[in-house]
Amino acid sequence: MSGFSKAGPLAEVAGRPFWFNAENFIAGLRRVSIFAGGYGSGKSEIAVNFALSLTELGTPVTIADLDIVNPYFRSREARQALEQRGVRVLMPPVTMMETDLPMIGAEIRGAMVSGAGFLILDLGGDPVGARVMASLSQGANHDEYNSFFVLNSRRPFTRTVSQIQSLLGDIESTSGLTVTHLVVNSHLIEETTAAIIQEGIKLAEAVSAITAKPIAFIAIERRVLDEFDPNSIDYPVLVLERQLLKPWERNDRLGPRCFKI
Amino acid sequence: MAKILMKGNEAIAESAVRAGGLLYFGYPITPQSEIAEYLAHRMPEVGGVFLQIESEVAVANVLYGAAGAGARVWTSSSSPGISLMMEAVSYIAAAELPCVIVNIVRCGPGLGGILPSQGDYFQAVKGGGHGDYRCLVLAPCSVQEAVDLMPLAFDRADRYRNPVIVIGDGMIGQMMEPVEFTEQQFPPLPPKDWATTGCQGRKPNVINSLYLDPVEEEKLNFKLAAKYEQMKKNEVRYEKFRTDRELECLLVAYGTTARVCKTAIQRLDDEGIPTGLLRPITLFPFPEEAIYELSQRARFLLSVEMSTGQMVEDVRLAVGRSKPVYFYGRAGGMVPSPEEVVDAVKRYLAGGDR
Repeated sequence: MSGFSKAGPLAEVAGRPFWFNAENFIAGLRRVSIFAGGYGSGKSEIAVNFALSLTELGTPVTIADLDIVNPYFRSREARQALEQRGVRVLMPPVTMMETDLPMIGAEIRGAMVSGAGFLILDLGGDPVGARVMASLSQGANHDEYNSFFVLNSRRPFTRTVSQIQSLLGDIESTSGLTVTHLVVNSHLIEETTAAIIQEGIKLAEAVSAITAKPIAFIAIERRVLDEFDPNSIDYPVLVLERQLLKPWERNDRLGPRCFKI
Repeated sequence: MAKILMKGNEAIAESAVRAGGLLYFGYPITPQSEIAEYLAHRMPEVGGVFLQIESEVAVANVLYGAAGAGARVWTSSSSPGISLMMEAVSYIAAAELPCVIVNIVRCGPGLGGILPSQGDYFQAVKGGGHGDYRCLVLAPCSVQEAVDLMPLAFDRADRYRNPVIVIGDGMIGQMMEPVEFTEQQFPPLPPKDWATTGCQGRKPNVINSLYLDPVEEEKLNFKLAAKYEQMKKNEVRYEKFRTDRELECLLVAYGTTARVCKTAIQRLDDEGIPTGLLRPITLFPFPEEAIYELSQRARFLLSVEMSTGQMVEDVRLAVGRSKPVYFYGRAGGMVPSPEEVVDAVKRYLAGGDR
């Protein structure tokens, strides 16, 4: 991605940085960022936070929810929060929002081919969720893409290097994408500790050594930063503020569509 | 074992496998298809059977046959699929066979939608199919509790020779939480000497439910009724939350809705309105004694549900006319927010909207 000018402390919101050690990573970002990974790896949460962080840098950001597999906890649930901060959100028509019908809007296809600013794609989980890319990526310029494989070492089928290699391979073959980077998002939601994040980094390093796919960044929930010095590790750190919450975790009034943000 | 992050559906499947539920028959339906997906992967690893059958009607009849042969069997589905199973579940109850049925409830009636609901309460606790029978009904409110209740479900199904339903709304099936699996110990079970395992050298065992002689049929009905009375005596489970004090309001809620109520109670505390929660873990048998006892230290009760008012009938039966029992519910896939519950409590406290 060229034309990206703003440097310095990256993407601060009210004095709270979204990123650490990320100047080079952000400067080298390609136009399209695709997030894939296992079910429950945290793709949607990362895609949403990634979008929010990039929009703070003053570049137009579009996020497309391509999770056509599962109707719960998708990035479209954060639509309001995203749009309030100026992120353009592409998703199926409102009448189809709560379905699991496999529909991709023409807008999303258009944005794949060209557009201003960054485009972020949030795929569904597992190979079945990534399959949607097989048709979308046809005719698109792959040099414009980064595809990130989001890894949570505390999910049952991504506990070991061989499990991860196998899932990576399946996602690549069903989607037609080449995963370019790994993203470490090891977590147990509210029970995440620094040790769990370190464990995820170690596992990702082992995967990286075999697959030659570099680690792009580490995702850490802001709450855990108290026990984790982001400058102590060699990778960029994206600080997560959870946007996809359970109904009883909401702090403010939810309004009539109380299931949503 | 280190904690891992699991979706409710996956965790239910893993817990069932660990509890020896190695024969699973099913048919996919959102929002519980991950159970089948997980088992398709997992059963071959443990020498179990995952079999997708052509319909839920057939699934329930396969359960009937396999349970009759003495196997530890189970299935899972969501509301419309569970309705299709009901005829065979009645047969299974009549034939006194053990099985576990997981219902990850979606909104209805009819085809409805795929978002969470508690609209299957009546179906689960009042029989569901035809005739005079009950299922033991367990209602977890977290992924960990779903994990912990699965072994109990299998044990009690065997012990009572009766179907056990584990009921969770779509949220319980879909959400992810950290879980760990610990082995549970149960007293030894009686041998399955009623199973149809081949009758060489003994009288045939029969697992049908045809009784043309009214004397015999009534005997069966009374025998089943006595079994349900035993369940009422021995199996009631519930959680009390912030009830160790004089209360303005006692909330009654199960599953996801109970989690919403707990957040609401913390906020009501901040506003100086002491509120407690009784969370039924068994929906049948219903914790009526506990609700009656706690009701006596509250000014009124509020049943909070993702339905237009089902469990509230049992709360009213438990309390009688001794205290007012009100209702707050959302339906159609909507989950009540903590704020809505706070507002409802305050409204009834002020004497409005009755």
